Amino acid sequence: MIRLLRYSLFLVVLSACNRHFHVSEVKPAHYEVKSSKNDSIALLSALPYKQKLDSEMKQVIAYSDSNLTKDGNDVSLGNFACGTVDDYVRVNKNELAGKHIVILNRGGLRNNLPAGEITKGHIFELMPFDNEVVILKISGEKIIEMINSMIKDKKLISRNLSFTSKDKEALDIKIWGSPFNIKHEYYVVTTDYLAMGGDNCSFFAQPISYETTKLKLRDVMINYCLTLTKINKHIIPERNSDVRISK
Amino acid sequence: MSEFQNRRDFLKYFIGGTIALSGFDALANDLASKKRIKQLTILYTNDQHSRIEPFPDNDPKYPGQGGFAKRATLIKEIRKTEENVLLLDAGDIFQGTPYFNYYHGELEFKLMSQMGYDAATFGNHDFDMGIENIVTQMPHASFSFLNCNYDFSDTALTGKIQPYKIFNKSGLKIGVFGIGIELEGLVPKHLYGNVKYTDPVACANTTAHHLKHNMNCDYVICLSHLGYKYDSKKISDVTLVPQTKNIDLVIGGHTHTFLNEPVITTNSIGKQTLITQVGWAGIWLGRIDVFFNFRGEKLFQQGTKQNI
Ligand SMILES: [Zn+2]
Repeated sequence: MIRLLRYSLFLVVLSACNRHFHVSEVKPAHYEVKSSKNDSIALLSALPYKQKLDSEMKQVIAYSDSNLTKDGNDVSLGNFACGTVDDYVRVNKNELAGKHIVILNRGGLRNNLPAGEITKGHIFELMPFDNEVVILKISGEKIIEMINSMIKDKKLISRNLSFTSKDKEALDIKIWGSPFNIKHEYYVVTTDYLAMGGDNCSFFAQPISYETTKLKLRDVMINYCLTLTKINKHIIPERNSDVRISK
Repeated sequence: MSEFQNRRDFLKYFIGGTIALSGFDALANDLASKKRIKQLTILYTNDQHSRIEPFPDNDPKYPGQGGFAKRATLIKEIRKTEENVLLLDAGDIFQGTPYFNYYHGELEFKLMSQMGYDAATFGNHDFDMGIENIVTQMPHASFSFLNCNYDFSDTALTGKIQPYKIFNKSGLKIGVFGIGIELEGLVPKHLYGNVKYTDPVACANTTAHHLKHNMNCDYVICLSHLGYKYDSKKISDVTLVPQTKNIDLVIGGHTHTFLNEPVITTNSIGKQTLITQVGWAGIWLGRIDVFFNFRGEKLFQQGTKQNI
């Protein structure tokens, strides 16, 4: 150690004698990749890939009144994602109305949505995974396990489910506004990723029934956007949460 | 700060201004020429997530930031002034933009090869289109894939992944190895197939020991996709380091942690190990400069606020 200090000392002296000695220049620990010029060779290499993609991805499919994010306490992006699935069920699986909960994982939402025009590319970046939407029927006991995991890990987001948590315990659990009954069976609309145990969703193993919609979550989102636009509606961010988990 | 205002600032910066100027004359012979001091410049990324183009200008969080072509320019400029550059990535090159959905990682590998990447390790998302896809895309990569705690022997990647690689930079031997996160529960089983996860701590120790003591590396870098730190007991870079020795630097990923500068931690024998990570999406390019004497002994590392 002393030896190393002496070496440093020598460098210090070198530095003091010669202002141009490169050791004395402090290099940054990181660069922000922002204002540099584009490298022309890299741009040229990417061009054919970009052109083909842009023709599809720049397509405007919806309009959002403001930013949708999952930053900090903002639940607007999660509400949007769960809302698209809920809308799909409402339109296509009417028999489940009043009995289903939508469950997605917060970590699966990979990008924020900006205010203004929403393109197909934005939805690809929000949901790049090819996960499919599946419908599980599970017991009330498994629902409790799921809620406990929501409180503990804070990874899952939901729709049609409300509760507040106190000292790690869920209170006042309601599904579609009706009190939860542990003896009932419930439908959970989620992704095959979570149904297969992703993000530690072990409670989805061996469900009472399992049905795949064969639809990608991303396509459910894209269809939702296109439908909204068709009826001249905007995406209106919802910033309230039905689930209140205390720290 | 690009230059120290005066000698006192320099002293304060590197050695805390606590020691007196004495006893260096004995070293004069060793350091007769400043050319004998060798500088290694380590540039790195993690979790690029297929972000080929910058975030759009109306992005809520990172407007106009990132982009492979801008990074390529930065790297070219650095290479003009620095002789010994090592360019590394800590995994999750794939997944996040339609470029991956449509081209399966081909362009990511091509552009990284053009930038002159030397090595990368695997992140969980690199398995998102399966083992076969990695095999398909590998011909587009001129850099090495390093991992020592996944057993690929029963997969199509067998024989294609090295545990470590040694880079020779102006006579300096730099050992680089990779470790990956447990894939079970994180990646659907049918995608990672028969990749077997083994203990990253044991493998890091074995590999780093081999690099430092058998292969006589002057500096050992661990490319880790374990994640920086967790609330739970899950293994992370922060819990790895105190259980290991012979690692000088951990370049991490997975948790998308933006560390303004490397964090200085202590390994199992009380020596300093740096842990670093630069967020994700190529928003930052990380840089650490390590200075060695002519015997290959580490003198100090820039990019941190402290001397070794
Ligand atoms: Zn990642």
